[in-house]
Amino acid sequence: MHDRADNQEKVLVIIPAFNEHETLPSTLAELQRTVPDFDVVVVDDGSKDDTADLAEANGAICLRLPFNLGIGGALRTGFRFAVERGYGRAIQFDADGQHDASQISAILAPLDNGADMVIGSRFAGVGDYHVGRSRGVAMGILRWSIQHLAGQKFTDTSSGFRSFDADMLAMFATDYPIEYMDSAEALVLACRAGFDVREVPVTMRERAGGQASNRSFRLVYHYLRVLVSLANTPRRTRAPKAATS
Amino acid sequence: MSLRAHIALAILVTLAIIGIVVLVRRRHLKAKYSLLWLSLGAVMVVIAAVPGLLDWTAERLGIWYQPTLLILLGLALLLLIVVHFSYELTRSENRTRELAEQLALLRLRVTELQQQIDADDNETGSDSPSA
Repeated sequence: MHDRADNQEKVLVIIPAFNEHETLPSTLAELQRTVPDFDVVVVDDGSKDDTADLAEANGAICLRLPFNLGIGGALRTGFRFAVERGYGRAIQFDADGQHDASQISAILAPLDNGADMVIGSRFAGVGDYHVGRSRGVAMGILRWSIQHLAGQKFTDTSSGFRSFDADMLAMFATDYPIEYMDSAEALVLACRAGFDVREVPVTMRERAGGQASNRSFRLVYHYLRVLVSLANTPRRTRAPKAATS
Repeated sequence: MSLRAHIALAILVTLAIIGIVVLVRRRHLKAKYSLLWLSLGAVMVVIAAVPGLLDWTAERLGIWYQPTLLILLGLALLLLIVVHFSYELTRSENRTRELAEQLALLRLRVTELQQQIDADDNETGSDSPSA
C-alpha cells in the first residue's frame, strides 16, 4: 500500500495549515482539479478549528501535530513524511489560497534540469503582487543579507511556494530551520550546503482568508530573531548525490 | 564585614543548602541542577566561615566596599545558572518538537493500519474480530 518504490515517481504536495478553516477546502479542490495524480498531505499545526477534519473530508492525508510548532516544525513534519514514504519530489503549498495550482508545473520543471530546490518568486517579473512600504523595506534588507550569506541572488526569499527533489527533502527532514521566517533561513542553509537552488517567476493571488502574520510589533521581533539565526546559519557540506542522476 | 554579618550569612546559606538538599532527596530537583546551586552555596559558606577572606580578596581587587564582592560573586554564579537553564530549555524544547512530529507521523500510521485491518476483516466475510 505504501511501497516506497511506488512513490519514487510521485509528487507530494505539502500544505502546512494552522486554522485554515475558511480556505483549505477550496485550496484542496483546486489541487484536485489541477494535479489530480499528486498526493496531498496537510500538516495540521495544532489548529483550534476543524482544519484537520476538513483536510481528511476533502481527500487529503492529514498529519495532526498535537500543538502548534510554527510553520518550520509543520514543514519538517511534512518533509519527514515525504522521506519516510519515499517520494521523489515534493511541493510546498500554502493553504490560504495565495498560491496558484496552475503554476505547479513551472516550479517543478527546473528539477528535471538538476535543480534541488525551486522557489516561486512573486517579484521575478510575472504577475503583480504588492506589499506595504515598511514590509517592502524590511524584505529588502533581508534580501540583501541573504544574498550575502547564500552567495546567490534571490528576488523573493519569503515565498512559501517551492519544490524540492529527494536530496533536498532528505536534508530538510532532519535539518529544517524552526524559527519564524524559516523560508529565508532554509534558502541560506541549502545554498551553503551546496544544493542547486533556483528561482522561477510565478503569479500569486492576494490572500483569500486567514490572517497574515504581519502585525508590525511581532514582525519586528521575528525580524530580529531571523537576522540573529541567519547570521549563525552553520555551513554544512552536502552528502554526495545519489547515483541516480 | 562585621562578625554579625558573617553569622547572618552563614545561617542563611546553611538554610538554603539544606533546602536544596531536601528538594533533591524528595526528587523535586534533579541532582544535575542542584550542583550549580550547591556550588553557589559552597562559595558563600567559605566566605562566611573565613572572616578575613572577603575583605582580603576585595582589597586585592581594589574594591573599597567589600560586600560588593559578595554581590558580584553571587551575580556571576546566578548568571551561569540562568545560561545553563536556557541551554537546558532549548534542548528540552527541541526534544518536545521531535516528539510532536514523530507523534503526528505515528498517529497517521496507526489510523492507516486500523483502516487496513477493518478492510481485511470485511474481505474475510462475517468473521467477527473476536478470537
